[in-house]
Amino acid sequence: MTPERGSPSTPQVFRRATDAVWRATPGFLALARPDGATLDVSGPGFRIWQLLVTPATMTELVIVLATEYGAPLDEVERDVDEFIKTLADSGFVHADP
Amino acid sequence: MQTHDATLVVAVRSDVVGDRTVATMSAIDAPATRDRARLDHTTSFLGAAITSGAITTDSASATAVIADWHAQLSTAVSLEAGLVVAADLLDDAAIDWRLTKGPALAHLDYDDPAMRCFGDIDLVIHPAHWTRALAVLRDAGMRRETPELAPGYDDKFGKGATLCSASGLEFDLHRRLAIGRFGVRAAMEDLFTIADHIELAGRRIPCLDGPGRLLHACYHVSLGGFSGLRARRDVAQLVLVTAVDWRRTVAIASGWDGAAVIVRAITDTWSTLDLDTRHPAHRWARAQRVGRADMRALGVFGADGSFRAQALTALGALPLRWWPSYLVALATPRLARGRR
Repeated sequence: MTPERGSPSTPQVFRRATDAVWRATPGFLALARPDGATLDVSGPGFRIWQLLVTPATMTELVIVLATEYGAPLDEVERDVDEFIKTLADSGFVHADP
Repeated sequence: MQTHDATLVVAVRSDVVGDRTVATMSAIDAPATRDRARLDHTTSFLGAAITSGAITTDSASATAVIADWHAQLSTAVSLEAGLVVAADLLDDAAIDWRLTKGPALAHLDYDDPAMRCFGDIDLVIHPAHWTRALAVLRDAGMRRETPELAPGYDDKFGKGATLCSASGLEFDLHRRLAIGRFGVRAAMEDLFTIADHIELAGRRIPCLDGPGRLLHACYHVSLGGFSGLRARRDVAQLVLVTAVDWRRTVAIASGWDGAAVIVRAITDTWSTLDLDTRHPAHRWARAQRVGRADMRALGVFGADGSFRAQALTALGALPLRWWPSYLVALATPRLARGRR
């Protein structure tokens, strides 16, 4: 696996934006914010969003999803990284620190 | 009595009663069933029933239904985000209001909010704050869809007003739960003594309490004109799953001389969805005698009569001195063009 974002000793923790409203069903996630931003995502993103009910690091997300889907870690990591980037770019997920 | 799409009846009742009835939606029937489901926002139930195997269909139809469901979920979150903006405006103006129907039921009464889709936001406004609430939302750029029938009509007789945000989100502001006989009898202040709450975007949103939500659902079934399966599912959900205090609902409605509305909604829901008639709410409803005038009024709404016909059912419930202004308002040519 590639190194976590953030400093070497403190991996980034991803958390949902507190002003997001959402619906998640298997294979689909709909997000919106009061400022008018919206995002629809098809695929396993809904599951990542569900897992983010508790703030989590990339490694934590990848391990859970790789276990659930029985997929190779590096493959899952690529997908999670891409999805988290989409959420972060649109302001639906924030990273700490 | 309305007729309902048999496939949708199976879908709407399947997970509330937990029965294993299996229906088939053929590729030929699917487009019409999908249209009806989209119109009534019951696509979620259809999609869930297909997923669970309660309804079998071809894969193209199944994919199309799921796509419809996803589109309705996108609409739902956009509406909820708009609701948060409206909530800030109303609260900043110290207006007493309650969320009702769609998102309130989705979050408070359904295990998964994705199961209850909706196409607008319904807000009940305290009677004392009605005019100010409209002004606040208009000042924020919301546009009223149809003008008031006559100055003061809404506050004195009306059901409410539909406002549209700049981004096209629809907000139904309720001064009452219905037009006509049962609407003008309602003391809406009764719904503001207590509230349930949901949290959206980190914000606390006041909602009608359980008996209030059931009351509104019943008014929608009995007096909502074409009120489809979703409204009946809401009644069933509130009584059978949330197990709200339906006797409290009856008490509020009885205080408004509106028990007939609850009787009609429960008997209609039980009959349409073929629910267990041993439930005490159904037994209560079956034991009630509805007076002739109430029956006549319910008949006008049940037959999906015109707005004017429905509104005229109020005459017997209004003081004589109010008749002239009421009748003049209803005589507006706009109504002849079919305002609903």
